[in-house]
Amino acid sequence: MAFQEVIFWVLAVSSVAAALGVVLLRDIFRAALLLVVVFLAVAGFFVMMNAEFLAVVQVLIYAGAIAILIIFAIMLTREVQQGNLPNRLQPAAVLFPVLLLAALVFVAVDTDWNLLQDQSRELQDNVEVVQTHTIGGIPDEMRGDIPGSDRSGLGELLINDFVLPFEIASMLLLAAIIGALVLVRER
Amino acid sequence: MGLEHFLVLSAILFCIGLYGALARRNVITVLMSIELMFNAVNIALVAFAKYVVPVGVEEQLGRMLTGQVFAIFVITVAAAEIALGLGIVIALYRNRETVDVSEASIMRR
Amino acid sequence: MIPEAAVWTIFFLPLGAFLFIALVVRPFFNNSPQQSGLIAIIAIAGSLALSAWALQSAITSATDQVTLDFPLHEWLTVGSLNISLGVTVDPLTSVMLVVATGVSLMVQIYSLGYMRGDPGYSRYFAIMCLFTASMAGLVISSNIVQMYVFWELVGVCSYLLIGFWFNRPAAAAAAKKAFIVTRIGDFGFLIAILYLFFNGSSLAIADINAGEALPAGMAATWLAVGIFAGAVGKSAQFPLHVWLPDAMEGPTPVSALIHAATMVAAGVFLVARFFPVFEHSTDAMSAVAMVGAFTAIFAATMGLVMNDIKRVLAYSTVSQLGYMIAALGIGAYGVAIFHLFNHAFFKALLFMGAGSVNHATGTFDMRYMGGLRKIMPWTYVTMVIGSLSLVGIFPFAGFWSKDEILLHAWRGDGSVATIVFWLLMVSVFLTAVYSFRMIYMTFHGDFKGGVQREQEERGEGSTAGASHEVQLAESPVFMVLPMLVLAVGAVVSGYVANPLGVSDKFLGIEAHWFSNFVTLPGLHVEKFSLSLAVISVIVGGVGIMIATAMYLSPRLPLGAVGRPFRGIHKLLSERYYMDHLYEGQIVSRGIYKVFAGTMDWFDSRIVDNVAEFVGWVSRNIGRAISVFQTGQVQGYAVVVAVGVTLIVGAFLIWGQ
Repeated sequence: MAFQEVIFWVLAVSSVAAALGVVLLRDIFRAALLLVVVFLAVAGFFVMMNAEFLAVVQVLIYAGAIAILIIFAIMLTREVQQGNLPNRLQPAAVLFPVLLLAALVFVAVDTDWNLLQDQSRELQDNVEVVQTHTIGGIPDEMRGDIPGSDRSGLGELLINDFVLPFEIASMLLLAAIIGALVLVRER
Repeated sequence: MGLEHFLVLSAILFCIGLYGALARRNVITVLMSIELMFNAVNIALVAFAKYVVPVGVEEQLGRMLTGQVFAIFVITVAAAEIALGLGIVIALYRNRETVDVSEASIMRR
Repeated sequence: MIPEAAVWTIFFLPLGAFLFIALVVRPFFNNSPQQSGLIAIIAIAGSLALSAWALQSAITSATDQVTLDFPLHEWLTVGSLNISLGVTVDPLTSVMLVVATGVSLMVQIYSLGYMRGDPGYSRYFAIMCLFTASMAGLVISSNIVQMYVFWELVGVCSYLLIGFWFNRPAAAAAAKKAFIVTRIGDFGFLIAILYLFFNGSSLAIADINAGEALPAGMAATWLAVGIFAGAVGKSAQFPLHVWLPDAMEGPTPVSALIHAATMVAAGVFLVARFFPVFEHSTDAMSAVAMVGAFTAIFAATMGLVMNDIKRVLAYSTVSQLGYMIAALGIGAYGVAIFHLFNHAFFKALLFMGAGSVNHATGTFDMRYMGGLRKIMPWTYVTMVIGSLSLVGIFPFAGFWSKDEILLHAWRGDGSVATIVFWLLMVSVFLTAVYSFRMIYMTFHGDFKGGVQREQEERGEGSTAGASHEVQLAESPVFMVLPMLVLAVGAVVSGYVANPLGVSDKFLGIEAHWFSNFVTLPGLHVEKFSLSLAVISVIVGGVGIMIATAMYLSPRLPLGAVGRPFRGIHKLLSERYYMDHLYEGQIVSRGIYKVFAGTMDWFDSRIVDNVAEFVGWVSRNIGRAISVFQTGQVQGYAVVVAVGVTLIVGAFLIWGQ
């Protein structure tokens, strides 16, 4: 078993266990702490999949900002100890996620994906170059060999192909800031 | 260890999140469950970007990273959502002294 | 030659006066309403001057063999539909313009006196201006749609003016009746327009008359009949004549202008304007002739027994319009317009006289008049002149035009012309009788008390604040002056046409000048016939003598003569029971009971129940569905999850 696989299984088991803890624990404060564990595990997955930038963002935004926000909210609402009761929808809430899980697993396993490992050696090499240069893009001396590499790296994609969603996202964040301020303002 | 592993993991996390969002009374747990679902989706997106070759991408390999760009947008939306969601939680708690979603049913009338 | 802008100004001057009175004078200067009358008179005088110019241009162009051509302006273009706006100036239009604006000017001056002190003074002049503008617009129209717009506008003005004293139930009912009855005829006119449109014909009048797109056979007849239906409604021909006598509920100057001289003549004008369409079909021409001639005698008989002076004149108008229509029907185009021209003068004069009499006695009922000859000499003289002209006694204007109509009928071919001749000849006699019955009852004998006596006999007593009271005196100068002008017109208007034809020139006017001027190419104008003229004057004279014998001297006492004819008298005073038929049977039984009853049943039983059922269904569906709306957000989320699962599952099972 390769080292990578060991890491994967450790992260997978711990993330699933932590996620179960998030939704099942009575103590909501501990649930929030387990959520941080899930976030960090996911950051680990990102690293394993050559998404270092996302891993860093995940740690900063999720494990940092969002987790802190949630803990603040938990403390402000003072229902820490007995705060996480189930409601009356247990049967449906169990049954349908399980069914959906079965369907999703079936799709993931059964589908005939157009996988990278089945492609030509050259394409695999080129993709590897792209994936290992998500930040800053591909160095100039290597560009000649790789088609379409003039827009490589997340930054180039964001300000070229995805510039409109990018701008809309900024509007969304602005709206969210104002909305949150209005919601919690003392009247 | 390949695409299927990550997809199945993603599905498991998503469905745990879905269960939490559907079955818990505490609105903060619901929000945390939604964050779980977002993370599960992000894992799937990044896994696709890593393992799957879209048709016609050979000539513009830079676009292989599109999945990661999607993940960035998902994180952005999640940040906005959690800010607003917690704002609503605070407002709800301030007005009605509760964080129980079942009691926040004034939409009925 | 008159420029196009000047022709438009004939229309826009009174329209501007209407807008000015309605929007400026009436709201802001209502305490000095005399301004309205002056504004109206000035505007209409301007229109009259321009109309005279138009007439002069038409005469010049007729002698020089030039046609006055005005450009068409695009108005509406929708798909293949292309409606243009434009003006026409031809002999017919220019004559109608002069008649309309000339009589209108006289009537406005008369109204200054007649309407003095009426609370609706400004409103009256505003609508009169609108009417004059619409009438001018009607006659200058070069497109049938444009014409239809003004055709309906004069109808609206008629409605507004008949119902001018709208707080009197009779006036309101008469206005409604006039509007609805003419609408029946207008429906035919509208169908004719639609037929032309769907037939792909151009809607310009000149193109229609050029006849390229005219259908053949029965379709041509029906097209002409459709247009004629409009004329029948507007000109109060049988069987749509019932509205005109009731229209006398309006102010008397309105009757003089609209219901004697101009608007009712618009029907004659319409037939004349589309004369080539009628010529296309012999059947249509015969129908026109027969309807006209029958109406002439039919209305004249009813005029014999009416006691209301304005109703006598109303039936007289219907009868005279029948003359014109009959003349058109037998192809005497120019003569029909000639009679229209003369009739406008003497009939407006007679109505003004009736108004003047009413001004003094406060009533229109001739049984309460009498003996006014000495008190109102001017009114008496002018009304006698008008009546003689109406009867057609030499040398008054009516003689010339009526005589030419009879002559055309006499010399015309076929049985239709013969029937028309005899019907019209009898009408001459009847006209003489009712005209002089009116004169004798009104002006001769002893005064019988006027409105006070009328109210006493009806048992109403003299109601305080009654609008009319007996003030026996000659009417003010504003009222007498237009009557004198029109009386002069009633004498001489026949001579401007020089119908005599014995010498080639009379005062510089050629023989049969008017008829030749107005008529269309291809129609002949008959030469004067002395024998027929003598006969018609004798017939008229006999009628006058009989009226004299019955109403003036005791030689033929009314009671003795009347006894054998009591049945006929009853029939005539009940107006042949046509109003009973229309209102009592068709409207009350047919429309109210059957049609409206069915509709009411349908509405209350079926429509209402359907509506209630729809409401019941939605109410219960809502009640059933509202169970699912728990307000539990997570409940909704579960439903979403179920839905997603089902869709994914269904796709996996059947989707591939």
